[in-house]
Amino acid sequence: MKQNETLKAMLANYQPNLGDSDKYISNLQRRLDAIETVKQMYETERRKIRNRLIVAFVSGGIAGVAMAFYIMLHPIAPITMDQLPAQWMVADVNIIVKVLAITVFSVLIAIVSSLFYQIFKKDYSAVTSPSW
Amino acid sequence: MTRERFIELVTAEQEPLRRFLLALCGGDRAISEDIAQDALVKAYLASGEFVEHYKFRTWLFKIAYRTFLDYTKRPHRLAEPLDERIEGGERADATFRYEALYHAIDQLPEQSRAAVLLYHIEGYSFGDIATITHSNPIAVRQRLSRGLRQLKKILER
Repeated sequence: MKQNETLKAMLANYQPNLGDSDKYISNLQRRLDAIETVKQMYETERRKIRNRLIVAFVSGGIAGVAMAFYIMLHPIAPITMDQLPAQWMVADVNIIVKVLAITVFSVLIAIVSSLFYQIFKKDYSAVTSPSW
Repeated sequence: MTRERFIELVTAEQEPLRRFLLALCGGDRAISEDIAQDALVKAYLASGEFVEHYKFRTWLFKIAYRTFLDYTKRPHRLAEPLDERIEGGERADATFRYEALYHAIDQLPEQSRAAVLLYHIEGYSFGDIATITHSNPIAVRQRLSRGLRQLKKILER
């Protein structure tokens, strides 16, 4: 029983010298400053990438619309046109189908543009997500 | 939580935290300080998720204990015997005042060690220790009494 009390007292009186607390906190603050700097760099880079992605998507969309219109206006060479069934000819296609075709085509071009951008952009993940 | 608030809370809790980690690491100051810094950085990065009504101290100790467990899983100095670590590293207490205690604590299983230190040094309740060590109060009570018995035996030798 007495030994138990001695042991408990030993643990309760455990007060090791931990050094200067102010210095410890200022070291911690320096480390947090470094983290904040990296976080800000990451945020800036993320914003840049997002803006470029939007530009790539919009440009892709515009290019898609332009290309779709071009294809619709100059669908097939006149020689082959005569050989096609009548329902394949653009002049007979419903206007809604045309619009849908242009939209799908434009969106596809936009997505492809964005994907290309994603593939070729710089990879910052190693810098911004360290394994703490 | 703002950075200022985080620093304010950490300033109040850093001593108990470092004391706990120092004992948990068997008196190896270099390793315990590394773990403490890592834990504080993790806590800072996660401070946005901290719920104010939760006890900050318990939350911080929980992160620190997890960081300690992660550290022990890595193959490095904590796997070495205590004497080699003390010779190789900086002594936490130049007077060797706690040498016997560190040696004894070092021989306890990790969970018993944490329970003994949190209960007897930091004064945590069984419930809080269970939260920190991701356990339940009954298991904590058992680990604590087992740990104390083992400590007594080791110190008697």
